[in-house]
Amino acid sequence: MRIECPLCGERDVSEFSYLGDADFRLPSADTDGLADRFYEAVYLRDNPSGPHRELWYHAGGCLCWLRVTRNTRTHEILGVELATEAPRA
Amino acid sequence: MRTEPTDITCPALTSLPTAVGNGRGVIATEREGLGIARIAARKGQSARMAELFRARFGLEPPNAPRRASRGDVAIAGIGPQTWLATCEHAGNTFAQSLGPVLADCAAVCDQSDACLILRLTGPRVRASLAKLIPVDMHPRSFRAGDLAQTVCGYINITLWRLEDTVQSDPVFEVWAGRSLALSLQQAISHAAAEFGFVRQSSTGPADAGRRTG
Amino acid sequence: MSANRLREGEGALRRDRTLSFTFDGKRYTGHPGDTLASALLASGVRLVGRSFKYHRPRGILTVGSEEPNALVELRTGARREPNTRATGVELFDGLEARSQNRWPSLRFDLGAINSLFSALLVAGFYYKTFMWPAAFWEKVYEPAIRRAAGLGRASLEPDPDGYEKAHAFCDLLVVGGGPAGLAAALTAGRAGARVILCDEDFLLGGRLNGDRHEIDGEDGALWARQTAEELAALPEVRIMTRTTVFGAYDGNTFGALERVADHLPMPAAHQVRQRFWKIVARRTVLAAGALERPIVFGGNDCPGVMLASAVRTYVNRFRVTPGRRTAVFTSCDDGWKTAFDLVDSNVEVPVLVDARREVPAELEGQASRRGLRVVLGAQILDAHGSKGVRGIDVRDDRGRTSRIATDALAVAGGWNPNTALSAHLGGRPRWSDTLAAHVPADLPPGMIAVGAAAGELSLAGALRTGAAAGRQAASAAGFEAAADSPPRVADEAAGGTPLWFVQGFRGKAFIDFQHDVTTKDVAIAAREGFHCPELLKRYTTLGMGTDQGKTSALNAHAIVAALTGRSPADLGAIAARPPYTPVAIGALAGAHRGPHFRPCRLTPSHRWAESRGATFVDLGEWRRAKAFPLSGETDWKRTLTREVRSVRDGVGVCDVSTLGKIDVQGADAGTFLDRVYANMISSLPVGKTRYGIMLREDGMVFDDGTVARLSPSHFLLSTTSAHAVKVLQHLEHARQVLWPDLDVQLASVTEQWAQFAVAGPRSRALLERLLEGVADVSNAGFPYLACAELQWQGRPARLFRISFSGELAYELAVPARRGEAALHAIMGTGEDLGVVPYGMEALGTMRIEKGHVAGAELNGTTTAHDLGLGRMMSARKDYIGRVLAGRPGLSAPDRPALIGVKPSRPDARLTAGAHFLRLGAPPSLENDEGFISSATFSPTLGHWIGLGFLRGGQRRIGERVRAHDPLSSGDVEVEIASPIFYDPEGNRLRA
Repeated sequence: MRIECPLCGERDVSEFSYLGDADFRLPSADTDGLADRFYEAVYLRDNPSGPHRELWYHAGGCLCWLRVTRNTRTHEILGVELATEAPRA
Repeated sequence: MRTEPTDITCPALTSLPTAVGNGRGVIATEREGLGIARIAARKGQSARMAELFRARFGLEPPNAPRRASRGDVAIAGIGPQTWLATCEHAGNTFAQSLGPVLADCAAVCDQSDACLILRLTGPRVRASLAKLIPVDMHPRSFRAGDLAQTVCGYINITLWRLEDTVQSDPVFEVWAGRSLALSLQQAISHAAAEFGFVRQSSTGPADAGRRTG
Repeated sequence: MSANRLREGEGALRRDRTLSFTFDGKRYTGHPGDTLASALLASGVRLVGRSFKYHRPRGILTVGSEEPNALVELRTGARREPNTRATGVELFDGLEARSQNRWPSLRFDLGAINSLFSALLVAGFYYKTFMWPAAFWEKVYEPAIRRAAGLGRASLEPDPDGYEKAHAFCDLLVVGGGPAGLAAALTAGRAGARVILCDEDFLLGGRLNGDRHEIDGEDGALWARQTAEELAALPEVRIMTRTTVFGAYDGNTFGALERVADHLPMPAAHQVRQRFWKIVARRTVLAAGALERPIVFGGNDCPGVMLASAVRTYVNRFRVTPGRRTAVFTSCDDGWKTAFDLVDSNVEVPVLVDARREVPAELEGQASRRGLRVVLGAQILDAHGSKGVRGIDVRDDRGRTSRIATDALAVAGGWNPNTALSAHLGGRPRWSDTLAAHVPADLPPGMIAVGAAAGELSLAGALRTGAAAGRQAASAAGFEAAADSPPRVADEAAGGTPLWFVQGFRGKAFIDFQHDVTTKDVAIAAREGFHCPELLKRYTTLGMGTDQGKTSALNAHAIVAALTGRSPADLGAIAARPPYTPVAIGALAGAHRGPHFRPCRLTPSHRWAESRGATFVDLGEWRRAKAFPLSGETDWKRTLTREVRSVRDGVGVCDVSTLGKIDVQGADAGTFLDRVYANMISSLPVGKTRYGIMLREDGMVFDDGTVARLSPSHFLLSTTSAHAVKVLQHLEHARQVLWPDLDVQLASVTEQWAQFAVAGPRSRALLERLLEGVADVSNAGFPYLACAELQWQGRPARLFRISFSGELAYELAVPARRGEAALHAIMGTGEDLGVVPYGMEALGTMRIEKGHVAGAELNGTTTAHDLGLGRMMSARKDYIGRVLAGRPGLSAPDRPALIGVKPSRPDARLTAGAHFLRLGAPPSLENDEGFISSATFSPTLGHWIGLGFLRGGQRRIGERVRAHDPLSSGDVEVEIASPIFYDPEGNRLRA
């Protein structure tokens, strides 16, 4: 798999490390049932089949965190943005 | 800028052989004395940082992985609102002097001692580096003045392409963490062994590599 | 002249040179250009191996990498390599090969007795036969099967040869150097595109070398050679022969194995044996050709039965005939070419049997011109001969069977396009009724199949589709190919009617030669419901050999289809997975083995430590000085004791540069650090240092270290050596993803600074001298946890008053290249104070004496409460990990928590990893109460001590339990103690 880093250009996936859902949000501190919400956010992530926005870290490159839209069935990369520049959905 | 006294080179390198294999397919020299500063603009201050840098050094900081240079000073984009600036022979004084210049608009970190810099040239330098570095180094894809932050084997590096030599041999520099000097040199000399690897003592500041992109 | 070498013609050989080799110890000769297979055939050697299950005699079936039978052991000693395909082994002088899977000899193999028990060894026999009694599996069945089965023997010595990886990028990757591949490469290469052409053979040309063709009025093999020469001269074209593209991966990435030196007795100096290429290609042309399929009949595994195209290649390219008399059995036009080429090379063809009743008149005309005996509408039922074919039983169209004497039999069952790479990413090939085979469909992005791989079996079709694909790839890369007119070639007959298997045979009819799967096995599987290809494979082991069923899969599917009243199209193609041919693990590892397994980081004082006779230890990536033994100190305990006492009573110095150092700046740096550390950081005054812990979002402790505040907007963090890289990643995540609005800048400065701990009651005296006029290091001027930026010896320096040893201590940081000089200065300045260098052993011992947690305790499963750090978790702010750390279970009183242990018997030794059990409780999982995480001999206390985690934690101080470690120290009674064994009030470090 190859990921087009907005800064470095297209690179082999071995330069990147994966974190998971890019749209995942921690609940704010004043939420009801905070511990349960956190438990869901940390442990019960979605794992969709098809396009998925996910976080990748360019560990072997510019050290930028990226939001990568990837088709989890085909590994097709549909879009890549810098995490700092792309707001969470 | 003041020239600093000669430093001790990274100890690990002295234990390496000066030649591996036969021939001069790849010639390596260690570049010494370069002042290196990592510059990260404060929030919303990158335009101001660029302006101050331009005013002081007459150079526009690139917003891409390319190097701009003028005289002894060069600057290259290494990330969003982040640059690596260098100054020949300046050592630690460069980063210290940049602090006041950029005032409150950037975080400046001295990296002069953090990097081992190997300058590599010779007719087989691309073929050798292709065994270690997973980026396309074809002359059309990676031009003089370009840089790539990538890996060399399992070592994080910054790869720079400089102007070719007068014999049209490509010139690259590999920058890596100083602690990895031994492993990096072993990896490169091993990869270049079939073409012949030669390590030369530092040629000092006046060598061909000053013709940076 | 060898027995079966044809007298005339060069083929692709260099007959002026003779190479000598041995097979099973017997000496033979061949020529440059031969493979081991062609040289063995030329020497009249037909029996080259025994089959996997029944130990049946086997010969050479093919001429390529699809070979299922002719697997041999190559070379001797440390270079011995099992399961190499003789058809792909390029002959070199002095080559040594041996047959496999036979005992005591190839011609007389006792294992052949398995044939008598074949009724027991049919499909599913593993599942049916060895079920009962269960205990028999491990002791009886498995060892017996292991001994009987298996192929060659790997060398038990380390591989003396080198391997490496390499990366390549191109506009067009052409897989296969036959006519279609050459045409594609030539068209794109001439246009200026960057082209890589790979072929597993050492000679480009593919079938052009095995068949007799004319291109533009020239010999096809010559055209291939000239084209290869033109390609080699193009600057942007790289030709890689002896290179198998073995896998297609996501992102237009391909794995290829280059056999750099397999054709030599041993690699040249500084040359590797094999090179693993990772190729990234904008476009790919799949020109991998097609594989001929056998026809299944009785005794079809008899040595001398070969694929017809292979016979043709042996005749034309290697000038070898498999037998003085060679019969042909075909169901397609292509098989006739073999008969013609044999006759034209003066080899007797006793009969050509075509299962079809009608064939093109042109073929019949050519046959009659050559006086060839042709039998149409007939089938070969059985081949006979114990160690090689002697005769064949032919049943004609009226059902009459006659035996015809022959030494060899060429079999042409039709062509299967080589679709493997087209299907590696999950695409499934499509059934073509015209070809009666699968053709590539649903190809990976950017891949085009051409020539025989696409089902274009004619030479004209290969050249046309190849050139078109080359033009398309060039255009995609921005190059326009000239519209050259295609080369002129003759029309060919390329029809056929599939004949998968014959009926009415007597002997065993093999489908998968390598795994000894017969028609009977497949019939059982079909009868028992395992008819879908994936189930059939697993039930019968069909296609699970090193050849992965290249010559057998479709035949098996067609037979199952016939038995179950379906078409092979209904069954679909079996999944193809990389690698296409076997790849040595060594090649995948490349240069990363032995001492080069991973990079090693050296500290700034490494050379100095070496000169002092230090011993070293690898901790994560770092190689660190373990101890500095003096001459005469033969016992590690004496060195440790001296180093620890020197620090506790005097002063010592230790290189601590490996700790991660992260520079944090920005107006919001304090706020940011409050959110990533569990304790409060923003309240830290400038010029002060604070211990901090970071949690993961799940509430477990992630890392610990110090935070120094250098200015209101400038902090310097230290991390554990092991987590330095991960902590930066974690902080970058927090900065870039969680809170991009904060003004924070991060940079790793680990490599920039050499840092030395100067520890012990006399450290102040040493630093007073060293930093005279630079810094006031008195307790008042520079109290415990102070920090400062200095200018020392004309360069920046940093000083911290922090202590890991528990003594009065400082850490001095200087630019890395000055590290060694700084150490010399420290040692020189402190000489009369008795300063000693100390290593990791002493450092680790002192931290255990002091109860400081380290990597063994920060193991990712411990909470701040477990570590006795619960009070550090601030209640006045939010931070990463706060909510989930508050889960009741994570601070439950019975959770194992940090304690100290000492042995009840003062001379007993403790080991990390020992588990705690109550006295008298048997060692079982239910009775497990925790474990020792770190243990050391304490020179300060004079006995072993340890840190660990015990249910109930420090409430159990004074209690005696057992530390149970059956792997080393056995069972030791220990007393639970406070984890702080030394100076619990901390008076010494504040002195």
